[in-house]
Amino acid sequence: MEKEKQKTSRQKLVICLICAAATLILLIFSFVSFGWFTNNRSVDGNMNTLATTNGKFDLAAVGTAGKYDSYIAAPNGDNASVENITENLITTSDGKPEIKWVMSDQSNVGNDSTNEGIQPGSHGKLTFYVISRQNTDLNLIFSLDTVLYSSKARPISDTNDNTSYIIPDTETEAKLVKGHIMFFEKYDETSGTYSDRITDTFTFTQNGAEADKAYQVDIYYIWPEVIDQLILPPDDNLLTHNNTKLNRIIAPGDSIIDVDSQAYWFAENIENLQEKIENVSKGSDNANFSRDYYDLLNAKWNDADQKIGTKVGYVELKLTADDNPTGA
Amino acid sequence: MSKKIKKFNKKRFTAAAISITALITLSITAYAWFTYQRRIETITKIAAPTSLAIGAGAKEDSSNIDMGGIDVTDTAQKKDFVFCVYSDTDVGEYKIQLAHTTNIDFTYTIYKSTESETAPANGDFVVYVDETDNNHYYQKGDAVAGKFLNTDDSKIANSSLHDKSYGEYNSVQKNAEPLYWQNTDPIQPTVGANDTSFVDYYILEVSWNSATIQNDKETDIVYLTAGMV
Repeated sequence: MEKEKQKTSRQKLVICLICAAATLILLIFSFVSFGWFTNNRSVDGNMNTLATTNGKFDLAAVGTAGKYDSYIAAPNGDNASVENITENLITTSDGKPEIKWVMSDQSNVGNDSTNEGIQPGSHGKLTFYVISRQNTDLNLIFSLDTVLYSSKARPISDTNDNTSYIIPDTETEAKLVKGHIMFFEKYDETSGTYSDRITDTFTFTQNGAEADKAYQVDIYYIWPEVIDQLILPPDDNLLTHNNTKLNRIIAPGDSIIDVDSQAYWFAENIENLQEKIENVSKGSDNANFSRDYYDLLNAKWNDADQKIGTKVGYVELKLTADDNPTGA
Repeated sequence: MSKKIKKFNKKRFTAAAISITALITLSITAYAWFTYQRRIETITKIAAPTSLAIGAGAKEDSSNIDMGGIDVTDTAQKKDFVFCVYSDTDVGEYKIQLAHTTNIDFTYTIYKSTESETAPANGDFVVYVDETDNNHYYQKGDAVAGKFLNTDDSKIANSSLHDKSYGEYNSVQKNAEPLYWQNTDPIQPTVGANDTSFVDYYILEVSWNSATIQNDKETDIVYLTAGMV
């Protein structure tokens, strides 16, 4: 009887293992066939560093290394030249899928030799290139991520990789950075306004991309000086800071502030926040404009900036490009 | 027979384990085929905000400036409180402002001070015990020159700054309206040779005449502020 039971349980175990193996086979088959269908390339590497050869695209930039680049582990890119770009490109490659992003003069990210970081009022244009490696349609998804470090972060060494200085996403300051340092896909030089805000991902499409040709992509960042630039009407008399006239940075009628988000104001809770924003948005000339609401929103926005500046030492920006075979 | 069966089952398990391992390896390889990424990254500094702050002795939090419970039977007829004005950045010059209500006939005087780790041999000094129970010694220097902005007799506020504090509201008890005092000349912070950060220490002396004042549980509110000019 006991032997029969043991035999039955062993049989059940074998059946389970066979089923698991069959499931894995089906999964692998689907990956392989999808990979074969979308990217005709071979795999070269070992278990630790899987890389691809004959890849579909690379990312590149033109500019100079940043003064804080030694604080991140990514290697320097390789020099490259393509027919349609005269400047020297610094690019990813098969052996370096992740590299440091060299910055142009227009980036204004405060990591060149003459500047010491960014603060409220900073803004710039971040330029990079997608180098197509094949004659193909390119449909890419870019994700933009920030990693925050305390002021104790320092150059990477054998004994330090700065991971112990990372400020978790759950921290108040980490949330405030996402609301105060903003990224956009578009900037209108005439009106000085930004649009198509990047909060997570954005796409790039180039049908009929030619092999070894670089396609320029510009994104923009701004850290608004004051909340007025997001709320007040253009040309409002209050749209000044330290006696300097400021621009509203998003088009009239646009709103990018999520009242349920903790990313904008340093406050436990602002009562009737939507009502207060709507009131201030009508402008200081409006008969119902509340100076108290305006002062409160400004104070809490500025408190948030103060909090960021006090706790956050460094911000790392990672731009990752994934092939989007579905073109979605 | 049972030994043969056991051996056979053992072989089956071994074969199954090897197969699964191989399948996992192949799946990772195929997944690499499927996922193709490139990444570029940069890092920059968040510039520290230009800010001026007030702290207690030893540059501790301002909440450690505890002015409560002054005993006016103290024969010294004064009590000293150490505070500091500091910043980690270049702030240029600054001014100090003291505002206080006038329920109690106290006299407030701010003195410049220097910190030392040992008790000065002579002169007037104040001992501050920090949060780790270490003593810090602050020598009383010259009084900071300044003046009241809204009083005729240094005792009660006049109406010159009333509207800034209360607007059109007029039912304010005379001792509740604060006196405002500011130092006369902007103060240049004491910075190091290759540094923009500074800590300037001061002593706020609260003094009284014991002949005219008793412990009658009166309360005054005192505001100490520093502002860049």
